[in-house]
Amino acid sequence: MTTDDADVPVLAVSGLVKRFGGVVAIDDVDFAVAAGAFHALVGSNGAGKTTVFNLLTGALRPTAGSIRLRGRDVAGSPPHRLVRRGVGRTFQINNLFPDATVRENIRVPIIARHRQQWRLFGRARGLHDGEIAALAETVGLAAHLETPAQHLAYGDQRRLELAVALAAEPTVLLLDEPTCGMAAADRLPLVRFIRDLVRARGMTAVIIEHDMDVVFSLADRITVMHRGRVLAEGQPADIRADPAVRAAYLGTGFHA
Amino acid sequence: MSLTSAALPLRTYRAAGPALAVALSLAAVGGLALAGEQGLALAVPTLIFVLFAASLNLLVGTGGMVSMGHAALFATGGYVAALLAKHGFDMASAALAGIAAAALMATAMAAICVGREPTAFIMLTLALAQLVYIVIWKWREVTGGDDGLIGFAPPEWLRGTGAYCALTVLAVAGALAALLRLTRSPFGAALRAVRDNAGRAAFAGLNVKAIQIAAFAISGAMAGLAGVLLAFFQRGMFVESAGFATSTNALLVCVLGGTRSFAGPIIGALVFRAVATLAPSVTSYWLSMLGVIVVLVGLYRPEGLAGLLLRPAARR
Repeated sequence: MTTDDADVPVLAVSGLVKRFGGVVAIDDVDFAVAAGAFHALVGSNGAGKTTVFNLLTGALRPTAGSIRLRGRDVAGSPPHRLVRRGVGRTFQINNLFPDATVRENIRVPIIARHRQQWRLFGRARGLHDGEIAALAETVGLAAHLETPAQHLAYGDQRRLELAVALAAEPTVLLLDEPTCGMAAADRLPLVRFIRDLVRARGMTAVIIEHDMDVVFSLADRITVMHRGRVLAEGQPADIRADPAVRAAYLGTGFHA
Repeated sequence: MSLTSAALPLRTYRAAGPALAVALSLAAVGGLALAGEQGLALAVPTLIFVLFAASLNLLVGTGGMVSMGHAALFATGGYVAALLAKHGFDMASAALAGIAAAALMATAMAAICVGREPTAFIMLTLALAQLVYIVIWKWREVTGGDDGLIGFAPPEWLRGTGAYCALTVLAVAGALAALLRLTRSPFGAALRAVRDNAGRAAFAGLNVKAIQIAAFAISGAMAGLAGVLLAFFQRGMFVESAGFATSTNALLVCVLGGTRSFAGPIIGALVFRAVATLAPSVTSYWLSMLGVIVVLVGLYRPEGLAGLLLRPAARR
């Protein structure tokens, strides 16, 4: 089929519309993400970035338009089915299993990946411990495996958020402001770490990020959204020079 | 550091819980057995209530779904088995049909109630259970209405109280062991993930609604088994088994014992039965007093009696 065809983008959105009553949140959005890309989605608050993520992951059903995952239209599929098709996601606000330990948090998507949630007998404890330890090591939580998620420091919760997303073994990872709430100096290293991880694992990523220094230095391609529409799309250098982008961002902390 | 060390007593607590529940149940049954025939006649409904409460706690504690309609599943199991037994089916077939019917009823209830706001979920489970109650009450020709459904009995060899008590001990022990394994299984882990954060569970790849419905079906089968055991013990089913108090008493003992541990509802049910048996000779206000105790436990000791007994170190 078309799955391994290099010409077909991993993710292609066209004519995407989302209305909430009379409000048009997403208005005819098109963009495509090439295989292996580290693609940034930027725009001021309220531009519709997170709504696009909610549409891409099945949390919301589009009013119109198509979402193609390796050529197959998946618009309107529920989240758990999209996860099985390889779409992973991290959240802007930490979204974990708060009472469960780091180990148990990471175990959930691994159980789901193996469809072991339908095993009524057998023990969950000890299941996939090797893989869990390796993932915790990757994100730097190896020392906290038995700590409940809610007791982790904020930055460690962000790391766990990433590990839980990775545990589903996504081929397309949607990162909703992974640096949200972190000090400015920590953002570039964290996003670089994530980008290297995405490359090493052969994944494709779309990242929402407000820090434009981070975006310009790490993204392969940038889609700029403004009030629910795509304002511009291109290489970082093109976007930096785009007059429409400069105009839209004036006075909102855009450092060209 | 302090967090890692705090995890240790929790693990011990998890292991000790079921052991304590078994010990208390055995002590209760043994103690009643010493009292002879009359004691055994008290032990059987106590064990049935223990199983009923534990089956509810799969939904309430492990699944985070506070159902106020569990009596409907209990009564479905009991009435279906009673009807078949009355019409000449042997006890084993009638029991299996009762359990299956209760699981089916639970699946239907879940399909309607699951995935809604907590308040809507509670009211819908309550409303559906009341519907089942009304049907049993009004459909005289089939259910006997408020006269009850009588005219059947277990096979000859099970008619002695001792023999029936032995059967009940085996059935309840087997069902509790299955429930305990289930809560520790990958399915149990998925159900807890859904309870803790249904949104994230979906993005982890779990079909939230399917898992919740499956939990209902299993819980319903266990509640149905409890109903079947009661039907053949009483040699009859009565409409109160589907009543509001049947649902709320089970919920009450889950909270009293502690919903977050497997032992909780078992200990809660034993304490409730002990109080219900002994207290009426002391005061007629015992149910109100128990109510006040449950409110206090819910407010100040959400880990319940199980937590108080098993984890004194965690008390602050």
